[in-house]
Amino acid sequence: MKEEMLRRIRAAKHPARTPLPTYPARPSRPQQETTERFVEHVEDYKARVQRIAGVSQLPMAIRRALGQKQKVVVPEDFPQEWLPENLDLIRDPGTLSHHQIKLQEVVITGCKLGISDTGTLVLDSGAHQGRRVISLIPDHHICIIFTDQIVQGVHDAVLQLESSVQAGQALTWISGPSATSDIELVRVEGVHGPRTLDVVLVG
Amino acid sequence: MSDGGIHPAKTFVDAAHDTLSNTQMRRNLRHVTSAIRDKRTRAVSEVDNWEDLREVASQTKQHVLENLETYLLQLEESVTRAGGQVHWATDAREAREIVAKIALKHGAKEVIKIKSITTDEIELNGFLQGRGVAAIETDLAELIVQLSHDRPSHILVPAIHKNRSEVRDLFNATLGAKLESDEPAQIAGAARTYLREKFFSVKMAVSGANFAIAETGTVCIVESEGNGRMCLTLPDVLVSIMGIEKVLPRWEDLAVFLEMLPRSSTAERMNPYNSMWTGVTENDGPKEFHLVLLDNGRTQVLRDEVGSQALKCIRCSACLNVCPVYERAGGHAYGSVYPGPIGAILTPQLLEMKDDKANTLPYASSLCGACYDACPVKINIPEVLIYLRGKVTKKKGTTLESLALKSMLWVMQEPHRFEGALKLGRLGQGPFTQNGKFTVLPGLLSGWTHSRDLPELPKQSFREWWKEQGQ
Amino acid sequence: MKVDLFITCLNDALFAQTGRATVQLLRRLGQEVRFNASQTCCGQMHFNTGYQSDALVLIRKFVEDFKDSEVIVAPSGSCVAMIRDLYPRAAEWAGDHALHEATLKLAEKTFELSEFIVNVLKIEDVGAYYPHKVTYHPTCHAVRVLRVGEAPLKLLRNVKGLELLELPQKDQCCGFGGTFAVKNAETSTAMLSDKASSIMQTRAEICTAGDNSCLLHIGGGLSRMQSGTRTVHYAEILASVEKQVRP
Repeated sequence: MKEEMLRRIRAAKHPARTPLPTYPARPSRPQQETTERFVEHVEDYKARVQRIAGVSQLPMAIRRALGQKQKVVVPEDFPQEWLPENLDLIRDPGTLSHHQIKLQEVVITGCKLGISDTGTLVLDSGAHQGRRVISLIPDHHICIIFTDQIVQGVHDAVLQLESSVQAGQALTWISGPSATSDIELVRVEGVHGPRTLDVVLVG
Repeated sequence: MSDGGIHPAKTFVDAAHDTLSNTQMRRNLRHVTSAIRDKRTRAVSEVDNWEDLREVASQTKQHVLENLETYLLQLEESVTRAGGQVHWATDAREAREIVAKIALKHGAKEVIKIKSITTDEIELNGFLQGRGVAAIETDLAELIVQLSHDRPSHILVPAIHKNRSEVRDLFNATLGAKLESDEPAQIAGAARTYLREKFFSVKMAVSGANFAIAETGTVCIVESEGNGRMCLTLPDVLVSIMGIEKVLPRWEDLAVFLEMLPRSSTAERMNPYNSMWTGVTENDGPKEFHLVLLDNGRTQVLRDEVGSQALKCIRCSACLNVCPVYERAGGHAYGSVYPGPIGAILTPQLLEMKDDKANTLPYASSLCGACYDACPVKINIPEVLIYLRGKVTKKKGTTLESLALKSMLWVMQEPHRFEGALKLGRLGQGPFTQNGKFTVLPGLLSGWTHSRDLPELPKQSFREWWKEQGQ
Repeated sequence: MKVDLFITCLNDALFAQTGRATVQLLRRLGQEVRFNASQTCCGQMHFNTGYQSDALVLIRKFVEDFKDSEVIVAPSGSCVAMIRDLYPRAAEWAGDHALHEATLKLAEKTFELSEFIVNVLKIEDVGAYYPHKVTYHPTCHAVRVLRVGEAPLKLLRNVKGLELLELPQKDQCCGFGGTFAVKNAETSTAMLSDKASSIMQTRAEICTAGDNSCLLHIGGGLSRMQSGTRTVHYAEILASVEKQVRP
């Protein structure tokens, strides 16, 4: 009951005297250090990271990450020239059924940005990323990120993501593969989300 | 069905008595709390301006409490604009009815759930069961608790009182798993197999919410296993229930909390998955989204200037892990889905200080202050504990204890009375002491001597010595 | 400096030797020690147990007793924490603005013994001699409310003959907590048993701290267990000198 709740809140008569604080500024690090820490932190989650110099090396890096796996799903706008040849590939125009996606072993996407301080990849359904569901169902996620997409801290990321949120795009922040520590606090990598996370860092 | 709710069945003393002798739980708790404590210290020390962040987080939450009406109305507008539907629930009963109605409208026989203490608070699962809707917990720990008809004992790791063999046996008995090994990875695998089928077939999901942004209508859930992402993405209908205090003003305000929550709770730089969605997105995720704003005593807590700081809580569980009382007595001793130091100040207040059993919770603390130091939003838990004790004694009126303290006050009001009392004590203690100490004391003080000796009063008090020196 | 000693009711009644040691120590360090005999109790027990209006009577009395003091020193972390941290809070909750002002002034000139010696007098070696194996338990209020930090350790490390043994899990509360020890006796005992086991691991003869209330609890447990380890307030250790070693 909305009216009753609002009446109770007003009855609490909390004086408004605390202004919204501003986020404390932090000195920024050189980009190279930011990149190195990003890699270090992603690897700490037991995700695999490959660093390559340019997009021309992407097919090879992806091939390496795939191992023996062939059945791949990518978002519709994923560049063909980034992919190795001879894949059992489907593209998702936004209409694949959950079942169709379930048949694929691997998903390959880009991302919106990466966060150095925490080793996080953020997907916002923008370019090369597709819908949330494709990066969720397959058991293996290969994510492509460019060095200039890496920001230093969580706050930097949040500021950059504002326009995506304003546009109504859903966000998924990924820090390593799925994990649980629910049994005796022993960390187990891989429960429901992709159990393997590969990151290919370009540049 | 797991029992939830916030009504303790026993006083803290009685409930703690049960768990203190549970050696399995004691061992698990010691292991877990000390492991997370150490890890958390490392995770926090990586952030060089942690104290500044605490201040920002604290002020942001305080600001929200002071302007709650504005932000809730703004949130409602933003969510609605983005295609979601907002419901207001004054109490647990209303909230449960709202969820049940949505489930029945869609003919749902089953709903999948993301771990949510708020839904445990309102005892949703049992209620839905009564309406013919089975609620399936998808978080591993919540599933363990549900399948064993148990109660959660920790905010972050609710099944921490169970060991791996118990969980293996439970899964073999209830899920038809055929596990021989009790390796956690194997056990998690069995849960994956069981739940995967549910994720793809169940059409409605129920969740809580970690944060909701008034400005944009975005709701945020942090999790580790990916069961959250499954529930938030695959079903057609999503219902999220959030306490009204979870709202944040601006999108930007999320940053400080996403920075502090994982480090304070799982002691990681970031938890594996954060999902953020705004209303309904075409072709991506649920077609229908409901946000239930829950009061259930919160507006009553809000009335109290000192006690309302409990509403700043972001449910990180850092206070549990550093609490020496929690470490020994365990989560069940608090008799509520909110255990530990935060539970000791939240539960009795949510029950409007009217529940005599919940009112024993503010005394479940040695006031060591570790919780305040660990709290990322700077809730001064020891202060609130003391403050609430004041409310409890006032409500109880005259008791043996209040009379004892009143007479002590009378003695302490005048130094000559104090001196007289000491002399009297020295004369009277003779029959009770042996070899210079008390080993058995009567009445209120028997709690002391059941495990500790007490030295007898010395021949001379300090003030007598001072006087004798002629100073 | 004219130092007004707040002895605390517990020390006055049960631990006069701590009081005497505090006086001797401060005098040895050149301070003029005074004892206003009208003082009694800071009101902590009443306040923390929930009898806040009773506590206010004692708070007002304390403010009156010490209103002219230059500096107030007490050999108790929790009583000083009560004065510095909770007196202003108590006044606020009671809506007494004048008292609030007075308590803030009081807070500025009230010190726990070790922080007074190290931070105010700037002395780290008090010339003590104490040939024993000692472990130090940092009490919760001294650490988390007063933030005395290393002050007691600095003083103890400079005591001749004393071997300081590191206490495992030292930041863990001993389980005293005032009336908590009686009202939740079993949980309190569970905490005490872990503290006692940490102390016994060090193989020290003596466990010291800056608060006789915690030591009453720890020592009471160690005594009941016939552990062979006893408790001594650090004022007594710091007051000991060669030829006049305290037992």
